[in-house]
Amino acid sequence: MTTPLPPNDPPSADEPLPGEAELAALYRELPRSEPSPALDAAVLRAAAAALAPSGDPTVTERRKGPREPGDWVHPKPVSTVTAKAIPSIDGAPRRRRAPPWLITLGSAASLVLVAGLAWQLRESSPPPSAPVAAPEATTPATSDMASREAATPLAGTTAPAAQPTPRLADQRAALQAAAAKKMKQDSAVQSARRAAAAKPMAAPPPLAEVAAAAPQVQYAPPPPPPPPPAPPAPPAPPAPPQEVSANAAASGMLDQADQPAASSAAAGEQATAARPGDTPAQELDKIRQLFAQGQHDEALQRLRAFRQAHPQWPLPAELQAQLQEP
Amino acid sequence: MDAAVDPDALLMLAYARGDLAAFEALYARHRGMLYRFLLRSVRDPHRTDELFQETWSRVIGARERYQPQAKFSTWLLQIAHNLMIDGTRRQRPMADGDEAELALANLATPEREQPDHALSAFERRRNLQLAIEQLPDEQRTAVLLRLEQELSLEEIAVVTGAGRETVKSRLRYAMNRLREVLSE
Repeated sequence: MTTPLPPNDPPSADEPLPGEAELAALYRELPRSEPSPALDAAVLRAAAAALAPSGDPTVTERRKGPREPGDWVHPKPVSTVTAKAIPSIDGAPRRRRAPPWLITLGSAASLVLVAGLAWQLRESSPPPSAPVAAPEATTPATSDMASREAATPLAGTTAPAAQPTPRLADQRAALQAAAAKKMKQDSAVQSARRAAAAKPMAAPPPLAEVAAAAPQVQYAPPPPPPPPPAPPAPPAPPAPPQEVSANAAASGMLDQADQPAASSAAAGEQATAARPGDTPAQELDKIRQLFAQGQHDEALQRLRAFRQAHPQWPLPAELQAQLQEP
Repeated sequence: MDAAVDPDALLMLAYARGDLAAFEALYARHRGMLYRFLLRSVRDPHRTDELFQETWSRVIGARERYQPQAKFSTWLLQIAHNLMIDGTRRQRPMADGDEAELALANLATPEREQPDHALSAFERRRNLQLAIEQLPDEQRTAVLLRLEQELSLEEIAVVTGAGRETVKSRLRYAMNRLREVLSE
């Protein structure tokens, strides 16, 4: 044995303390308590476990709670502890798969939602003619419907997509009808403008009769100027002559027929003002309008000036009468 | 020669080599001594069990590092004393006087005692136990090591980590107090 060992000498020869022998004798009479058998077994089991093979070393499990009498902490092999600490792949909790009916229901709901959104987007998007028809619709009801629809473009997206309401279909039909009506009116106005431009001298019947009696070589009317850029139409006279209405229609006054009446007075003055580019027929029309509006002096003055400027131009009978009055 | 060698140290070395029977013999030799020392020091049966188990667990864990530079009993008591001091520093509540008295009174009574003088002997033992419990911790430990283990002053100094003269002084004060109690 190479390990140095301590000597097993008897207790050192300390001189006994006063009264030590008596106290020692009495102390030896005290109950000699012993550890419980369970405690002994636990210690011996721990000692045996410590001698386990090195390939399977042990560890001592430490207590966290209060210990009971005779309760020994049993060492456990490391392999066992490690096996418990490292969860196996097979033992790992797997994610629960959703039931098939739930997947089917979710897919169906998604499809319905997508189809509804697509239907609503198609319904809410205006037709190609809607942007033109809506703001220029002449029917008040149609205009109101169009404005409501334009004001709430997304209202339809919240409605069930698979249920197109009859109201929406009616609105679409009204919009299409308004657009068609407007297109007809526009085409009529444009044709009237073209006719007026092609026949600027389309005089009223009395004027045409006078022109037919006069020699054609004496009069060479200038080329018709382009139609005025939609001057505001004067208010309709109380009893306008047939020629005035025809000329006004020929000069594109129909486009302004539905202008607000508030600007009719100023528009009338502007319409009867003398312009250097006016043709003799247009000047005569304006003179007629001045007579019709009661502006007798100005009308007579302009009629005389017209007569001096165009001495050969045949005047209508009523204007001739006005000119011959004193 | 070998007769002068501590047999406990030999048993401990044998256990470190894998001899479980050596440990069983070693345990049988010191189990009662260690248990009583702890029980009369901490006066708490539950705490005594904990310290008892922990002491032997330290011995088992240190078997491969064991160097027999002192007596095995001294080393064993030193481990137990250190664990007890650590527990005291954590200010673990100790059993009060009544509980400690009950725990000590429930211990088995030697059968050799006769009924006629059992009362007087019981009173003397009870007084001695109470007197030991009322000693300061350092004096109580020194007295227990002296009376229970019959350790020398040097060995008590090794166990408690105090000087020899300090241990001697503690023993003098403690035994004087015990005699006073027993003479009352």
